[in-house]
Amino acid sequence: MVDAHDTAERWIGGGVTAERDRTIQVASLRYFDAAQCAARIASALGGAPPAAGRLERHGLPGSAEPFAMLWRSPSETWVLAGSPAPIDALRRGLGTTEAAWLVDLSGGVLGIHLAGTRALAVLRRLGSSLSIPRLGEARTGRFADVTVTVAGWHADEYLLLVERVFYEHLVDWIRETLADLRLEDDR
Amino acid sequence: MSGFRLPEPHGTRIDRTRPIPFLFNGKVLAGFRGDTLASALLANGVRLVGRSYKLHRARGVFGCGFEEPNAIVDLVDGERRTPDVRATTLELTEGLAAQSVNCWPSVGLDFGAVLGAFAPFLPAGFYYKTFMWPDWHWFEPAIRWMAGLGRTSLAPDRDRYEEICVDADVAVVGGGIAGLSAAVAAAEAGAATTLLCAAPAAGGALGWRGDATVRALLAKAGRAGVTLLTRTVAFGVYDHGLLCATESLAAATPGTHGALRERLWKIRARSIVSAQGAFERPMLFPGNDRPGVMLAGAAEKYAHAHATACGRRAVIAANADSAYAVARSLRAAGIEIVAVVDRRPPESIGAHAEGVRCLAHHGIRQVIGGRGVRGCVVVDADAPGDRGERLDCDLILSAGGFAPAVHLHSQAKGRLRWLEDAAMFVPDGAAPGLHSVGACAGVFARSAALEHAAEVGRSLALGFTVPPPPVGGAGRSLASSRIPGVRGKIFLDLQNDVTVSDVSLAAAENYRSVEHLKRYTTTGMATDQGKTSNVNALVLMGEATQRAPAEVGTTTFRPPFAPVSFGALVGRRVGNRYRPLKRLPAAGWHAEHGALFELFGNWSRPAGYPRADESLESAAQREAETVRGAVGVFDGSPLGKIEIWGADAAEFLDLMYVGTMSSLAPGQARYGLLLNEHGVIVDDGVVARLGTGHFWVNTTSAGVERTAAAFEEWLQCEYPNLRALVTPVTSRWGNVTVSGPKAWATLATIGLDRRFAPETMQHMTIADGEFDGSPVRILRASFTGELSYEINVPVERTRDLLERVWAAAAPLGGCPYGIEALEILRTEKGYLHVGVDTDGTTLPGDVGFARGLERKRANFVGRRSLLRPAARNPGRSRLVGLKPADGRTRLPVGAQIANAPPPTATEGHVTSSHWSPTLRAPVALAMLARGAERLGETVGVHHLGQRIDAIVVATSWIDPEGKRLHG
Repeated sequence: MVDAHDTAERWIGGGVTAERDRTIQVASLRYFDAAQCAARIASALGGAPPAAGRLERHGLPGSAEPFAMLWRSPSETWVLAGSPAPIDALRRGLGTTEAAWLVDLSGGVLGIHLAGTRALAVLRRLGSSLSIPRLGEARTGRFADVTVTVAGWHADEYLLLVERVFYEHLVDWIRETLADLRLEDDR
Repeated sequence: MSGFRLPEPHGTRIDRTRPIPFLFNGKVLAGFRGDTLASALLANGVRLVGRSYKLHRARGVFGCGFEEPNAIVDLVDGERRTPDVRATTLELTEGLAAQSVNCWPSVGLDFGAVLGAFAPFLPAGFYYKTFMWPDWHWFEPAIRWMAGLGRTSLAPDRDRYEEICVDADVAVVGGGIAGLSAAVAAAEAGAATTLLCAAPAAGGALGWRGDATVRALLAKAGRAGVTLLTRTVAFGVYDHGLLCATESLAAATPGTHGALRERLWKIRARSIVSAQGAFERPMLFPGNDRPGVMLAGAAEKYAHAHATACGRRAVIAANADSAYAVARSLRAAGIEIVAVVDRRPPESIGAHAEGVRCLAHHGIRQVIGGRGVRGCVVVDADAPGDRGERLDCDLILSAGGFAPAVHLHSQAKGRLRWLEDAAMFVPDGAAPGLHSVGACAGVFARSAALEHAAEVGRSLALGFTVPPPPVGGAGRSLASSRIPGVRGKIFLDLQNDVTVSDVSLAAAENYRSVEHLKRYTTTGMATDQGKTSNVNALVLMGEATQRAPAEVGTTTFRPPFAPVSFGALVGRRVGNRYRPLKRLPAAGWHAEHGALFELFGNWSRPAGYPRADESLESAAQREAETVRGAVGVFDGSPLGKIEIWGADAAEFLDLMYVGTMSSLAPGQARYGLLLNEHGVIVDDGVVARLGTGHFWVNTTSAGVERTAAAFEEWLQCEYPNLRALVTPVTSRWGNVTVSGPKAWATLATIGLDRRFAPETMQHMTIADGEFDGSPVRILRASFTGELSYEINVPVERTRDLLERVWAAAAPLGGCPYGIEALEILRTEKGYLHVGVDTDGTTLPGDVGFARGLERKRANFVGRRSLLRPAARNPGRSRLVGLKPADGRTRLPVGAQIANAPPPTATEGHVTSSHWSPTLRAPVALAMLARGAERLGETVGVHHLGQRIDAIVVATSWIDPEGKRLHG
């Protein structure tokens, strides 16, 4: 047995690739009123909490510090980044305000990119179609019997965010689904 | 191949160039690709295919689809065994091996058939009346042995099943012309449309007749983008437009395993259209269950679709105009139609068949032949006692009218109405979210069905008002096809052997509700769910109780419409995926150190670390002793962790916990009990204050989700004015707990700052620190009674910390310890384990928190309930310690405390019990009535007939003053 963070990272089947995002940093931005803290967030990161159900990506991938903001609930936005810098910047920008609060969840929430023309078919085999977002959307629902936040990351690409304790369980389901897609292709 | 195969052009569904051998009851037979097992058996001249459930009567193929009550087989392939499969819906595949069920030693020679001689003693509800003397248990084994149909395999199912969830604007169930018409219209109007078709190909009856309209509709469906799912059976309609269906993928190849066999579809549809058609109603006459008696429409389908003649000379027993179309069709196929014996008076007959003899107002009084029909005797309906006329035939077809398939409509809470002329129940308006079209709506005229279905599809797509169905076209039928006064056994429910006389008996015994009739007689309770019997049963019930069928009503239609395999329902939830398993962030480290993993609240955790030749129990003893004597290392990562933040966080936590959290200074921590509205303890843990408006809440490992959810619910629903935010962070933080007198020595070795030493960091305090560049949050709390440090570390550093701590602890004589050792340690201390020492009735005062309750002035959840007289009853059970009077017998958990052996009033029970390695004696906790007042009293502990005397003691055996907590 190996520890969760040491397991294999990439699985392919049925034209779909599932790959763990090794660098993703996740922080939960909590607030009572998004408008109250929008200015601070904007000055710290250059972006505001997204509208309900939306995913906002800022900065080009590969550029200095790209990050994304993902709506979770009326009082919560997740900030995703490829390095700790944007989250640190946001923490500094928020300062000691009583309007918003940042909780670093990095390491506790893991990311899996699901990409390929049949990525949607995989998601449909993991959970409710109502919980599958379109491009630029983010939804939290029950996939593989656990809570997963899914973001429509690119065309034919989704980012799945799952609590670390359920990571292996989710990966197990994804592996099985990819195997089934292969079986279906072989028929 | 026998002479029952018809020549071309018959056989629109079979491929005569692809012969397929198969096994039936060990005999090698052959069919064609496109055959069902039933059609292949009939083509091979096999008439006897099964035995009935109760009386083991000989039975043959009766229908051609889901209505089949008789042709039930087990599929056998090595260790793979699929029980109770309908031969009528099973596609023939290479190497298929089927066995008849409910017969021994063979279907031809079935010893169970002797029950037929005892049939008079086995009426409806016989098991309520017989086998009472001398004792039911004398008969029970034999009856249980005889009960049931097929046998399942005891080996694990190694095939694969999957589940898929999709959306649809319009989901159409049924691939006949009405379903096709609705789907095409909906799709052409722009709706995302899914069409579910149970058969391998869409088109329904017109499809296998080669109708041009079907071909045109199929082409249109393709162009319009209809998603067509064949071999897919919709079995249930649920709330909010959820339609569930099972798709049979390629039949499992014999001898191979691991194939994807079935797919469960969960379709969330804005609108559902039911186009499931109608089932043919059997005629009621004596001997109507003999092999060779079958539904007329089925015989027609076998002839046209599968080129199979079900007999050579047929008599058609009729109660509907459809009989004449079948007569024409079969006659054209070369099957001699001896006569149509029509139960209706001449004026009700609306069709005829050229060249076929028609006996109007007649019925069958007797079927000649046991294992196969050789003829029948027909009589005038007004003179059942006459000699009658014998008709020689080898096939009797039953055309008793139709029963629209209103299952999905009814599941969706649609109402039904009775059509007197056609003697059938049809939908009374649409059901919420579901509209019926075609025969299942009572629309039997082809052009009307096509037009109405198209209009429904279009209207649903465009949001227009859906037109009502133009019900009609089925002609006239009598409600009851039975001739009063004929003698003999007339079967209603062929699978469960329910007869007309059973219904009469139920009525005579004053059963009136159709639901009671169903349960008393078991009609409609077999695997076919009464698709051919229900309407006849309630008509007869009405006759017997002088009520119209509409007054009798129908039983409740519940999913599934057709049997669903457990495999399809389970899907991927097998093995490790049976339920989501939570894994420790450093599971590998524990495995490398010999951990024995067990499930605790869905967490896979080390129960202990048994060495070679050491049992888990002895390992737990050793580990507990090591913690008391030196140091133990424990992975507490599953411990629930929630951060509460906001200006009103302290006030909010005061409302949530029995303890007062607002009086904590930053850096201090306090134990708290969490109650529900009833005052019952639901969780416990430590609350620590990180800052003015910032708290760190530890919950039980299994309770964090429900605690966080409860916090959210109270905040959102009851206290929305409070400015507090709840964020669960269990996954973010690993937790390594170091406990024992050498705990600090261990941590000092790894370089932890001196300010964390027990002299400077008090018990029940929290402080932030650093470990190798990573932030750590250290809590001085203890569940062992020893000096303890709970070190919370960013989860990805858990293993690093464990390795460092272990490297320091091992030379000091330490060990890793698991849950079992922890249980011993906390029981020795009398520490409460919520869910083990408490149950759904335990209040804080029961476990020693009465003083805390009295002191707390602020309101909190559950407080009002604690003020009730029942909560303040001095006779309530209290948590106490128990020690066996002999000083050595371990008290069994769950054992009852009572003065006399059970059954008697119990005074309490043992909740936790262990052998204490430190005390070299057993220790136990118990809930005992008035326990706190009974210290020193000897009580009787009863377990499996044995009494053990035990002495009531205080709950803490070791260090009751708590000195060891401070190092």
